[in-house]
Amino acid sequence: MRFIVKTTLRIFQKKRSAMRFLPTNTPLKHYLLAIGLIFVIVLFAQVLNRYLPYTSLLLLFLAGVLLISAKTSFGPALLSSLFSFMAFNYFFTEPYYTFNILHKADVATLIIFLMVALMTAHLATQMREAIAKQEMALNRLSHFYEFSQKLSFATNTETTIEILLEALRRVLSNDGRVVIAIQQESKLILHPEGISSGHPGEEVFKLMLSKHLDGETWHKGWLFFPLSWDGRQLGLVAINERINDKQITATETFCQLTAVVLHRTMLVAELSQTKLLAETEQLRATLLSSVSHDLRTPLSSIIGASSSLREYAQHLSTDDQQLLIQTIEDEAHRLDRHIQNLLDMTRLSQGKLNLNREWMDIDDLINGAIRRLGHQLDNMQFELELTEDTPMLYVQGLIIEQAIFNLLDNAIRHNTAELAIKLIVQHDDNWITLDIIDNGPGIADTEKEKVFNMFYSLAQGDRHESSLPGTGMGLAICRGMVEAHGGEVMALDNPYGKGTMMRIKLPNNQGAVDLS
Amino acid sequence: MATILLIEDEAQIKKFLRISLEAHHHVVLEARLGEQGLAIMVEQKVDLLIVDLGLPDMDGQDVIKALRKWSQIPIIVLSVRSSEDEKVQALDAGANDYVTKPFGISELMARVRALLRISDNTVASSSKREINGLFIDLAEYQVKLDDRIIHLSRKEFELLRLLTEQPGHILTHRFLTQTIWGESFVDETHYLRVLVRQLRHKLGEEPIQPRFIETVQGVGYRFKV
Repeated sequence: MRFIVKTTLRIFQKKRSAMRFLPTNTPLKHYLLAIGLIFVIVLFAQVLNRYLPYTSLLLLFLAGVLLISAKTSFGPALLSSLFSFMAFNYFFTEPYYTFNILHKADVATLIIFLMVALMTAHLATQMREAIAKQEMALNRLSHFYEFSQKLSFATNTETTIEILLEALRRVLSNDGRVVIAIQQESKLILHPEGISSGHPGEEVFKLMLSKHLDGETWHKGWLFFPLSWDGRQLGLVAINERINDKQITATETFCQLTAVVLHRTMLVAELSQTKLLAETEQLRATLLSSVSHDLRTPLSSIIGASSSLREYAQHLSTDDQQLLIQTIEDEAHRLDRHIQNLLDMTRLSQGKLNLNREWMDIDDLINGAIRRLGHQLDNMQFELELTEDTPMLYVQGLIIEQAIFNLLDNAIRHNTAELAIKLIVQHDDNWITLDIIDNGPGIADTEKEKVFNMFYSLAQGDRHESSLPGTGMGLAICRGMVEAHGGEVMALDNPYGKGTMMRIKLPNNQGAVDLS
Repeated sequence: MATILLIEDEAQIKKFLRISLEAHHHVVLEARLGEQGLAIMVEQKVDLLIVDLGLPDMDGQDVIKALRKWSQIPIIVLSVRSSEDEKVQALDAGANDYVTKPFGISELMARVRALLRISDNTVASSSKREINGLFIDLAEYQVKLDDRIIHLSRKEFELLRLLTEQPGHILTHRFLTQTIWGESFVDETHYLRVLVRQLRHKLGEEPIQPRFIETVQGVGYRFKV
């Protein structure tokens, strides 16, 4: 008897400690269910009493206990064991309807029944608890997995910290607060962003960082976890409530996983910074060399021609003299254009294109561009197609004129013997389109986008003949200027034959203003 | 032929200007500073002034304003490409034309010729004008192009009158809108552009090579001579 009691008590104690893991407290209805079920079994057994030896009926009660312990918890299972014991004693052992037991064998049977019932209850509950524990462990594991997955998609430090914050908030209760401090370039950045109060304070964070924590540490009402990887202190997590062991383990795991990812994101940020610097440097170097080339080339011609003229004037025919003089003038104009390009490019790249828009007629703009080309258009066929009702453009005149100029200049540059240029202006409800069609050599499909790159021609280098003098800035600038107005520039094939068609599209804003 | 004053501080520019102007038999006077230039114009008879807007001591604008207080001689202004506002300001202050640096000499000489010729013929006072095949009768509100009558609206007529009153001179947007529509419409340049478009259309202008009305980009309009 004492043995039974001792075992029972021991089991109870274990149950008490394990009870922590079970999410619910055993509700009253479970106990009622236990009693009810036994009652049902009593009735059932009474019926079967005629056909089965009464010892077999014990098995029914055992089944009942098993059912109860599988479906509820230890409390009801224990109650059902005891209740079965008493019920069997009362109803099915002689003398009937008493708690006395006549036959010695019955005592043994009952005691064995009770022990088996208790063991069954114990095992069944253990199994149930084990399943519950497994489920929780599985839950936790899936949380970690989900967390790792999210982390693996995090591309920058901010996102990573956000993910960590969210995960930690779920671990804590509603009153719990999480603050994360990250060390970035010797600055301490706190998350959630913009948090001004309700955190340990920068000084405390710095202090804790200097201590190089190994694991969780309490300090002034906050629990600190380190975020470190490979000996590097990346940051700290601070939580303002006491959490249990399981939560601590979870937090530590989150922190470790995050630290690995943080290390990666910080490295990526550093890398892209370095790359940006390298690219800027390269751009600067290219610009410098192209400026030097663009400005010095016409200057060489000018200095060459003028010095020739001065030194050998007597030996030169009038025609030759005129030729040299023409060279000086032409090259000087070319120099002027390059300088203009550089200025335009600088303004465009700085984004300092504050547009001073006005309503302009497109023919005025075309006219302006043509006039600036001067005598370059002398040996050329020129045609303009324009409709009466072409809407006005709402643009900064000089800039669009420059864009058109650049396109015309480019067409002339590529000219073969008999250059013919045709300009067609069309419009619909949304766009006003200007097509500049030349009969030059045309542009290969693979190059149609590339020509708008800033240093396109330079890439061709001096390998190419002087038919493509200078850098390709003109087209890049043209595109920049048109796009600043909400338009588009593209290179197409001449639909009427060989050559190129450069198309400028500008938004048709006429509908927006009543100009009557 | 004419006495031209050059107010310019860049030595190289002065050199080639002097050489070219003298080659056309003009007398060239020079001044490096605005004050100097004004002093010269007080003492001597000058027929045309060429002034650079980027002078060291006085703003070229101030020279123009000062001169216009007592003289109506034609003024040509030299300026740098990017300063649109400067040009417009100078024209509003009383300058007649401008040339953008760097410029070819023929550009400048054409302007000099045009302005000198105009100041010789006082055309503005008569009620009938004939320019380039265009015949305008101010009293009768009639316009004939190559002997064909053209019907213009009141504003179109007014615009044509203003342009032909100072042929070869640049009239700024501001001046035109102010005169035609009034002070409060000074910034509504799109009205002006539409009006110019309509007038050009009635005059049968070709889009690329206008015969009569020339657009001076970002500044105003000029009647061609």
